[in-house]
Amino acid sequence: MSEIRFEGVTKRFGAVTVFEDIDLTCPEHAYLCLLGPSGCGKTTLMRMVAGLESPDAGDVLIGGERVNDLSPAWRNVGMAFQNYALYPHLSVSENLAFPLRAPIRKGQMSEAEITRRTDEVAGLLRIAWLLDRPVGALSGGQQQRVALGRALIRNPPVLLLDEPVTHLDARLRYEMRAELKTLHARLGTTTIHVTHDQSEALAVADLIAVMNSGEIEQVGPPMAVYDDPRTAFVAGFVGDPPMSVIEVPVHPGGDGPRLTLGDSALTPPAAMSGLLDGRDRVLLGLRPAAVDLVAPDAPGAIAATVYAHEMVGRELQIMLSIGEGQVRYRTPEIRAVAVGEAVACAIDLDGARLFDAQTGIALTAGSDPAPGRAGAAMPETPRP
Amino acid sequence: MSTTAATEPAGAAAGAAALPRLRSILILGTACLVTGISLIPLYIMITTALKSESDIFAWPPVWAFEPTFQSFYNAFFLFGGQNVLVFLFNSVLITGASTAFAVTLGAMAAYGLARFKFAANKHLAFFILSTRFAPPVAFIVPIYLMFNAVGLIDSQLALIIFYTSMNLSFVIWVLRSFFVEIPVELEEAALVDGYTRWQVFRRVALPLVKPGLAATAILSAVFSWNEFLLASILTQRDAATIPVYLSGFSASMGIAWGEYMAVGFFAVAPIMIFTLVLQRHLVRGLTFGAVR
Amino acid sequence: MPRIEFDRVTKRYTADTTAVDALSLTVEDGLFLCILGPSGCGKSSSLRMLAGLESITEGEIRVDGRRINELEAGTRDFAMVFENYALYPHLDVQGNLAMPLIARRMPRRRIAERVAEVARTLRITEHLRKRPRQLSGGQRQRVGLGRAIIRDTRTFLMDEPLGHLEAYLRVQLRSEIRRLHERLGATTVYITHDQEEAAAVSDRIAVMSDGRLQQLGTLLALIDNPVNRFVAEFIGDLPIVILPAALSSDGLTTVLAVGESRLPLTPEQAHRLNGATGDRRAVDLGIRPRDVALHAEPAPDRIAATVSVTEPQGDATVIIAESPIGRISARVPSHGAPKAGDAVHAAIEIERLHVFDGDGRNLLHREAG
Repeated sequence: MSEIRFEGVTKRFGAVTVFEDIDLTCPEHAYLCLLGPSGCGKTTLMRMVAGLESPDAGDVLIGGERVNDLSPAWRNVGMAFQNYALYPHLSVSENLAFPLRAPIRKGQMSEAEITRRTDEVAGLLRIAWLLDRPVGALSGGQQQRVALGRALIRNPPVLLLDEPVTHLDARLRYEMRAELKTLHARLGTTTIHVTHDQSEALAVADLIAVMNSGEIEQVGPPMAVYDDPRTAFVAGFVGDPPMSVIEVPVHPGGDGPRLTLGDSALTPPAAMSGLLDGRDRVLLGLRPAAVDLVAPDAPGAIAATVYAHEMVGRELQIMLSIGEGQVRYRTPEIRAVAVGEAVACAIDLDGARLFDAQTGIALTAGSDPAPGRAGAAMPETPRP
Repeated sequence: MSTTAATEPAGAAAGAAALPRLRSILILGTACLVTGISLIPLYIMITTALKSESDIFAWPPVWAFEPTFQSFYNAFFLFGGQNVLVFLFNSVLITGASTAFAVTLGAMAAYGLARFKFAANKHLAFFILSTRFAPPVAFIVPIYLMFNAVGLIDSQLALIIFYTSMNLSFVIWVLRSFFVEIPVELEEAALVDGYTRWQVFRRVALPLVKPGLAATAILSAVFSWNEFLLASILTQRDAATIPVYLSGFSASMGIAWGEYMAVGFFAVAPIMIFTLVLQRHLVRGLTFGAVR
Repeated sequence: MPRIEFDRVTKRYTADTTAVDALSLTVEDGLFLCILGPSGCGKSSSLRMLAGLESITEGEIRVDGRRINELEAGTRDFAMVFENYALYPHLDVQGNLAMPLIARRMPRRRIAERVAEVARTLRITEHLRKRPRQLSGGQRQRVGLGRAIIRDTRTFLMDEPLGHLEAYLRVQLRSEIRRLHERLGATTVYITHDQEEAAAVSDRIAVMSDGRLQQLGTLLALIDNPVNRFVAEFIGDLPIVILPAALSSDGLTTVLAVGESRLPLTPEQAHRLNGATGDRRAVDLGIRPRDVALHAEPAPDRIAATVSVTEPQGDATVIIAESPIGRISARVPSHGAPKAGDAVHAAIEIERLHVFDGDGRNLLHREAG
């Protein structure tokens, strides 16, 4: 059993509270990504599993067993560090075998077995030809593989990865993340992977926990997080490009509430109207596909100016300023645009998302989520 | 007009190429000069030791002379009842032991100060260094009385203890900064892999501060080897070190320059060899490739 | 605005380490040029030679036609932005911004006005009294940019200015940099290893590798018309797939044999290849994942493979599949995307194929125009 569970975990550094009362479960054999911007507490949370940080309140459980007071050596987790943390005075094979030679495992493995296991892991990660080199002579991608190999060599039931591919260049990053996914499918090790890169999280994870300033904003499978963001933060963080989230005043009209975008007032679709009742501001989340450039005299045209524009792959993306906010528009048609240019756009509200202007929590028909703790408890694993 | 425009860049280019070369020649020349000047005393010492008495006092100085080992012979076998080898042995023993103790204990203390957060950590580090603020001469009387009380006067142990304590504060300070530089993830990785703190210290941290160990060992040894004041007070005959012997030598014999320099040579040689051996560990950048 | 020319510029550190090898490159006035390449390709050395921080071994750098090789860095009148921000830690933001103006003995009242103006442009007004260490990385680099633009320089040199920032901050700040450029119109040379960033900020991209300029063009040109295999592999948001293939012709059509599959080339491609290959039959095929469609049914011009990894990316999913001749990948709509273990048949958009010879030259490369 290697389910990992955080129960009401709090961590403070001096007067600073990193997070408070976190509940999160990573089921056995799952691949969980902790996703969030730097300083959100994701790394601290993962380090608690390794025993490198201890909680100020609450419990950390591995396989149902409380490990708060267990020293790192006895937790039986493998960990790969963001900066690889290879021992520069040892060769690749010595680095790989280092965990096997730990005194607490003295006598468990003969030298021949250690060599066999080292060769096996080196083969798995395709670094067998590097075994005799000093780690200083390796490229970043190779060092990363050695770090991963060192974490995997004991076949630990729990694997912790701290930004494992962040420092690699683009091509290697793609290769490595496919490799991580393949490895996980093969070994089934319960894995926690910390990253700030949403594309990486979507690509590799079974489950994503999105964190922001010490709060878990949402937990769920990648596509659920992408399709159905529970908070404005998640909407604006996940996706490439993510949703544009803008604050929009709501005006009561004779035939229902209307959303004010710049100089225009939009009538929301019927399903949305109900959510707007009694509110004077909401956060509106728009996918780029919901935004289109139109002729200024087209019906429903909204006046906008070009805030910025850039080429992304074969398409052009334009940030449009509407009132105080900005929305992103994308098109495969390349044309010249200038910053400050006046344009007109149309916005399709059918796929749009609404969030509470204060709490940022998604407004959905029928539900009224408790403020502040949205999505912290995971629906898939009911608490006993 | 057109000609100057055409030639000017070419001339400037040649000038630009010549300039760095001239500069490097100047730098090299200056370096050679400085090295030469600082080696003059060593040169005079060795040649004087190898000259015959008449050559030593010849004026103008003789550059070409018949080398003779007479001064060495005199110093080792004729002068005084004491054999110079005993003092050499004392110096080697005291320097070796005090350096080993200072570096070993210092590394452990430095690691603790670098890695563990505890109340008054910074104050303690400062306090340790403060033991070096007063000149050693200020301690002479209490030190003498203490060693006298436990019967350690004129014993090698007395100097070993004193030099260890003098070097310790400096070793701790230097090594602490070396340990702080080791990325903490290296040690965390080992902790997660099943190593205890002590094993992490020995297997990961210590190998990575080799340059620091070498540097502090050299400086500790040089201090212990050359220290004269306390050695002259705490020792009389049996435990005297080379500097003490040298001073007595010049006083009792008048100044016999040839013999003086011959012994001086043996006072300099061991510590030079020690430094040369450790010097290759002084390379920096040992943590290269550890983290990125 | 100045026009910058590199004329066969070479940088050698020792006799056998050549960092930059006969680089010839012109940055037209007011242009934003990105030098893009992997680490160690010579891009930083090139910029540092331009800035005067490193000497030029051979060749000549000219600004508006005037040779600047011998000018001291301080007299070249460039403003530089560094990867590690290079802010003065002992000064607050205001002091950091004012530094270049104080050095030029501007009157104090003018300095205050100018600092306020720049702080407004870069939205750091509320941080003016803070020290650099109290700022986040993104804010620090805004200050770094502010210090560069504060003295109306007409040329900016930027050395990986966003390198230390997290992904989402990079995205924010790169549009700020582009906005600044469009407002100020200064000639800019920008170094990065991140092609997405290069495309987002610049007008033209110069791809460097091994000290040499490989190709100069817009991102689109680099993606669709790479000059060689290096550029093809380096450019593109998803790694290009390279497969071994064989060329054969039955007189009328030229066909690429990829494993069991036969890809008929367009007449234009066939014409180009016949001119280029001579007798060579074995080639490498380059396929971009975006130009691959996956089908359930086999066809002679499709490559059969088994899906090994699926990577959802929102609306699209990246599929990695193993075929008998090698690993292929495709970027397909998430809706209806295949799953791991599925058998798929990859159809390739023939017009977008790249064909490389043994030396890595792209045989289908069209000269600029």
